[in-house]
Amino acid sequence: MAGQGMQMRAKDVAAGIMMILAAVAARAAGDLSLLPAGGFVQGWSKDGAARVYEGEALYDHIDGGGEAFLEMGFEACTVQRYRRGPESLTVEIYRMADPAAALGTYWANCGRETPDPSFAERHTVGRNQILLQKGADYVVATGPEPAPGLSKVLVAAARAVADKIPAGEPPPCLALLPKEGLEPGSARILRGPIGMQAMVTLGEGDVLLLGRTVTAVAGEYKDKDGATRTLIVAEYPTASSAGGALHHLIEHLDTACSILSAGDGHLVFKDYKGRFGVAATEGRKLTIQTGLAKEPAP
Amino acid sequence: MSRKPYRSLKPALDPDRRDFLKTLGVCAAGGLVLGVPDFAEEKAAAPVPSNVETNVADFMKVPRGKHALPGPFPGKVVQATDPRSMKDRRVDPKIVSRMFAAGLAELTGKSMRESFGLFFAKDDVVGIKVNPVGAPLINTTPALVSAVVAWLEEGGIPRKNVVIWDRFDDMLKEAGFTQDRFPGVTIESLQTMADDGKPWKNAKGEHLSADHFDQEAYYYAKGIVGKGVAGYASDDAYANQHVFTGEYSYFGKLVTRKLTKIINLAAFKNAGNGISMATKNLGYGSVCNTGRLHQPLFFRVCTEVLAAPWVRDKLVLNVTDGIRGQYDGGPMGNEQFFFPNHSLYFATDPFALDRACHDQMVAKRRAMGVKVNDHPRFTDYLGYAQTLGLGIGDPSKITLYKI
Repeated sequence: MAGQGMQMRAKDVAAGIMMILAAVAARAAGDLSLLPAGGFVQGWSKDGAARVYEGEALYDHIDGGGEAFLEMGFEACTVQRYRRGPESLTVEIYRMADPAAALGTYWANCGRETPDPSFAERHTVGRNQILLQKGADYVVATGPEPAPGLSKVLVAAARAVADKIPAGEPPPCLALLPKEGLEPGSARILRGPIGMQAMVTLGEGDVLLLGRTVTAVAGEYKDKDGATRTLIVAEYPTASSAGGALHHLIEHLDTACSILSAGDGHLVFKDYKGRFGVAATEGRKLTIQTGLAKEPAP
Repeated sequence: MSRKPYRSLKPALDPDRRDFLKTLGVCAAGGLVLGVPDFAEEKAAAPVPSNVETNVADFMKVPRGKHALPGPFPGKVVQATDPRSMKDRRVDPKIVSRMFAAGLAELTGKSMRESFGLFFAKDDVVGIKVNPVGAPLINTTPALVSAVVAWLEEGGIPRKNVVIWDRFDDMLKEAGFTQDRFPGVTIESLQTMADDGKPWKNAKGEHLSADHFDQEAYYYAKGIVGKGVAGYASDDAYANQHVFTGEYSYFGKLVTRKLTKIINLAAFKNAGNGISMATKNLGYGSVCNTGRLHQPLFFRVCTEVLAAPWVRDKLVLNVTDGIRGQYDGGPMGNEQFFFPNHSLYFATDPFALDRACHDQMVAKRRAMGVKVNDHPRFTDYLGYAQTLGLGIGDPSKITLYKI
């Protein structure tokens, strides 16, 4: 029995390796093989050829929203339309640079998550759209308008894609954000000014010098007195670059803010609402808090 | 279709003047700054959000027309709400038509026919600027457009002199603005954008839509060019989408030469922390070469393009279509943030309208747990418009009437 069990485990491992290899090969081909096959739900078939948008060609696919993807770290988008009689839906697979980019994009778009209890992967599904994140992929399936039974078809489409994506570890940057006191749904991943804009305005452009490569995490925290503050933690390649980012922030702090004190490794300021902010470096990390009710010590 | 010369624009249509403006732009580095008109003190009260030099001062020098912004009702906004206007995401055209009539009457204090007379003459060519972006989720609904067309027709304007308009031809079609849906009405885009490698240049190497734009009428932003704008695969890709690539964003000839009045039908949605509603719909829908403007001048364009006489003196009515709303993920449609809002918002003053809608959008975002960055940069353009005399941006001077 023990030998049989070992044989089974060896088969499982081999099958797993084959799946991973197949997935890697598929990615080299532009993620076409991640698409749901025709008939993923009875009657639904592919409608035309898939389109692949690589790098900055993304803008040819999403007009006005491409910058956020590119800032986060985007590689390719594979788009396939499906049809069943008069019904249609579109599956978009965004291959991001890494799992943090995929999760950051998902968080920026998911709103309050309403998952289907039968589907374990991280997702949210509405009446005519499902968003999914797994590994370095962000997947969107959309029907033109709500229709009876469409949600189930969307879940099936997302499941068909997710089954072909290898599971991965959570992005390591998540460890930068303390869990205690974190407001549900408020966590964000930032790699540039577009992401920053949604959280707080500290200055023009890429004021933290994230440059699409440095990863920051941000979240809202409610204090005991009910006040909400924003915490941003960015991890730079070196302590020197973290210090450089703080220096840049001091030099280019938003004109609606006033600096109360700034020195070696710290900044204290007051914002346009009379709330306080503090920034400080510790090794490779730059930590910023805004929306503080009381002036922090330098 | 009649073409009426536009009185207040004559100076800008003079080639000598155009050369003069370009010369001014060149001279600006020597101390003459086009973007700082003779209202410098007012400017201090509500700072222009960016120091990029533009030609807004020249717009303001053109005498205002009879119907110039902010129109007869500065600071007045009407919200007409009916929960029956949409059921299961399907808009009820009859209810929307009633809401349109009620909202218009509340705004003007007059009947539909009298309201028509307030804004139009029978020989007007009326452009209805729709927002098709985000269709079918969060675009201007065809039902609202139908109600407006019916009103204009009842007032005596032939259907062919009503022009449903947006920048892009394919977006109009995708959003349901087709000849089948609106027989007899003119449906016109400012440009086409070739897809899938189809040709978009003529034998001279110009964009196929280049002639649709009036090179005598432009919004100028010094040093802001389309070359190398992030998000485009190449400068050619930019040119395909934006027709021209330099420091000039030309107004569509439709706007400068054909239309005599404009009705602005925006959608109720966000763009990041800001909104993409009335002023954005026209600010970025009247001119080409806009990709260069988004990052450095996003909201400022929403004010300054509306200051141009071709828009300022023709825009008589704004209705923000809030039957459907989207509080995040905009301006593209994003089902996660869609909500039934069941409201239409009316104003002759697009800046007061944007302010009222911005405040409701912020309240909705807070209610839904979306982080709100309420930095003044997202509303500064409304105060700036007030200093230009284009509308009311100060919330304390705006009255919202709910019916």
